[in-house]
Amino acid sequence: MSRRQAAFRDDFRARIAPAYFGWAHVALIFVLGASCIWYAARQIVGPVWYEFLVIPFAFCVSNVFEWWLHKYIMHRPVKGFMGIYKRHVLAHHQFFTDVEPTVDNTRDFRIVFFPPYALVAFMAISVVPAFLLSLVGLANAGWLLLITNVALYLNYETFHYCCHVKDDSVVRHIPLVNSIRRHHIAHHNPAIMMERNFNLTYPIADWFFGTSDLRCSLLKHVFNGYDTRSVRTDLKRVRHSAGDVRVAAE
Amino acid sequence: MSGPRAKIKTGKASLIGGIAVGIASMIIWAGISRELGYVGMVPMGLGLLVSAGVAGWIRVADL
Repeated sequence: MSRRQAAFRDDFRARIAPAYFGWAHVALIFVLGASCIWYAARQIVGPVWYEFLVIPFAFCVSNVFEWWLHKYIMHRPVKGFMGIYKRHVLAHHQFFTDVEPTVDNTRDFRIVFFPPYALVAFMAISVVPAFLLSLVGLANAGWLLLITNVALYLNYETFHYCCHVKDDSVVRHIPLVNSIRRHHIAHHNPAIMMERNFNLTYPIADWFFGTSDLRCSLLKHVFNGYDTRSVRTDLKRVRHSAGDVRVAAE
Repeated sequence: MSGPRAKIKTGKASLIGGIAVGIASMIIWAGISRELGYVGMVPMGLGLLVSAGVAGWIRVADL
């Protein structure tokens, strides 16, 4: 870990409120999400086959939305969304680098998981098209849309945690999860973080829009695991400054 | 560390976020209570307490 990263971590941790508990943060997100899914599932009555088509549609839209939000909102100082940019680039990317991308304790969850109101915001966004579907007689599709979007949000949080967990002895063997862990840790390289690897669940949009650090097929992207043989050779390289001197080298 | 304790961000985000999550919690609680057949003042009052607790914790944890 560089001296700069170590100093940032010390400063950030000192600013976390004493009343913050990492597992309570995680539990709140997952209890809210699971409750919403359970309630929505109970409202589905006699769905017809074509109403289930909303699931793959929502999956694709969510994958592109996740990519777009990460690339154009979280990594760009956009007026009205500066808080998101500051939290992400000026905190999350300082706390985690490709050299040291893992958490040390549960209080570090503060910088891994989104605040719970982000889930509420995504629920509110999802309710609008779900309501419109119900207005045109596709109420079941509306509930399925809400379920899919909330499930994908929980999927996002779970995979992101797996990217930053310290001990990878389990996650390195789980298909899909190991792929996104390598993909996301590579994204934390300051030299390429502005232009590569924006997906956090499945690197489909990165493959489609050519923003992946890999040069290979979609199937290889999704099931690549830790394999680095397909990493592009034309990626930008980081230039170190005095603050980047490794702590361990001192 | 010396000096006053610094905050990660201003309290406004955790205030608004806490209220939003509290309202969402109450809505979901009410929906689930109704699904399970628990209606009336007691489950609603309990839901209000839980939601207020969640909102309050988000505020004090500056989340």
